Amino acid sequence: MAFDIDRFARDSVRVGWEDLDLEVFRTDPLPPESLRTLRYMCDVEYHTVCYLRDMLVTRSRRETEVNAFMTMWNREEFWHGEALAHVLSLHGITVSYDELKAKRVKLGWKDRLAPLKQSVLSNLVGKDFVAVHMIWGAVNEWSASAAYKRLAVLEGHPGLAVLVRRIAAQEARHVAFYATQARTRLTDNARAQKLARLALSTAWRPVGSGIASDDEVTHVMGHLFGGAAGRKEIDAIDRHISKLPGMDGLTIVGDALDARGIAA
Amino acid sequence: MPERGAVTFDVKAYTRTPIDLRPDNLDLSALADLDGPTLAVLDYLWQVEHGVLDLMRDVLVTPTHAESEVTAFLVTWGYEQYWLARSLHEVLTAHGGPSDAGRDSAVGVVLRAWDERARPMLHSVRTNLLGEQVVAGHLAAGWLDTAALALCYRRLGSLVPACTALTEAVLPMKDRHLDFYTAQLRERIGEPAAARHARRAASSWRWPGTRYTGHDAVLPVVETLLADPAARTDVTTVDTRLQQLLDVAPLTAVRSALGRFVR
Repeated sequence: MAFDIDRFARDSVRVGWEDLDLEVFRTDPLPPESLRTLRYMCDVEYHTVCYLRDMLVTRSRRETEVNAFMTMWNREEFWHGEALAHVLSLHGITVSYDELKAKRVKLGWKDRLAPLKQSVLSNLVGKDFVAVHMIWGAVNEWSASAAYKRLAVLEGHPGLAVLVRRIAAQEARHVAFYATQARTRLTDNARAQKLARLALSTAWRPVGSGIASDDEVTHVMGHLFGGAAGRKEIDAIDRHISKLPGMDGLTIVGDALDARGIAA
Repeated sequence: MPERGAVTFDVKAYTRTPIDLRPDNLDLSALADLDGPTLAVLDYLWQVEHGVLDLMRDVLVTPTHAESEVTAFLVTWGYEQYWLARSLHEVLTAHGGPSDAGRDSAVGVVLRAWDERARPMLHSVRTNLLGEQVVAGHLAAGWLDTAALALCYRRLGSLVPACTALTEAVLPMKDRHLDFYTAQLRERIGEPAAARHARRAASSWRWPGTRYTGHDAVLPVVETLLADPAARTDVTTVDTRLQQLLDVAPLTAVRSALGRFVR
């Protein structure tokens, strides 16, 4: 499947919620466990600019298509953050610029050195590093898309379900980009396959692990993907991954849930 | 001219109302038959405008990345810049495409390799050690880059009537970017370390787009736009605005940067 980057850029819009009756949250609020999950998702979306930073210091930056995609992707994710922040604000939870800044500062040297680490790796590995980025992005976007879809199912709230499905639809387009790029770059490239497999099997963690506490990650994974229906979504992601060249048999997302003791 | 308003800048409002200059939103038909020097100017502007992610990279590897208000601005700024660059590219394509052969100078090739491989790492370590106030240096450089490009668009609009519609559309976008940098600098400049970073960045600032191509390659464009003595007032105005903003009288960043073209 080809990915039409011009079309993606042309059609890229910020997610809208003005037409949704979200004010209803003031009288019919979401339960605390959903708010906790939304807060986590909101932080992850706002943090995209830092993921972008880590990518910009690598060879991925030099690919024209990747450039166009990243500009639009970065903006769409930012607006997912804004949308979720709006929902949270209706529950009296304020996500301000100052607070986001405090969180990023609190991440300390681990966060500050992330671009350095990426840059060193990219320089050492060379062009095949782009393939690793792309498959990594695909896994994360698959997870994000599945997370929003699960939230829509779990929370029957009509306003929220429509909003998170809109977000999931944008995430699905991001998946298409990353997966297409990954497949192209991994096909007939044994070295890239080996690197990607190594990176995923040793270093991949659920999205948000780098910025949230372990407790938060476990809550969100359990809330969204605990139980048979949740595990079905996770297994689907693992199947998508294992269909990419050289990734046969990988079950990294399911393994991550097992490691956190989240029962199927 | 006193420094324009923008004591505060509403980033939230800005992110909600980007100026979208995609080709469909502009009437590019007036630009169907342009002469060589004008195309060279547009080619130069495209070169500079489409390098947005380079700038974003250089800013984001520093402590500035934690400044969520700055990154919210950058997200929208990148979007605006992307579409502006696409429109410029479309005009160039209609005239046979942007020139591409041997664009980087010999020194530029080395600098680009350095910038892509080593500089982000060193820059990241250095600025993280320097701390938060380094942001002010980025903001001053961003202000100057934007002011210099706004000057180019303004001059192009007055020299080439066919380009006026385009430049009139671009200038409000540049003005808004300047308002952001101005507001941010005003807020931070009271801190001595921030003021130091900002002044240092301004005094070592180079004309946009000269890092890789060298000054010789950009000289024809600068001559087309700014050789006329009438342009001097505009240059002085930008320098004066920055002097007021950074509260530093002898600094003439734009004039000095232009001086490097004839050295």
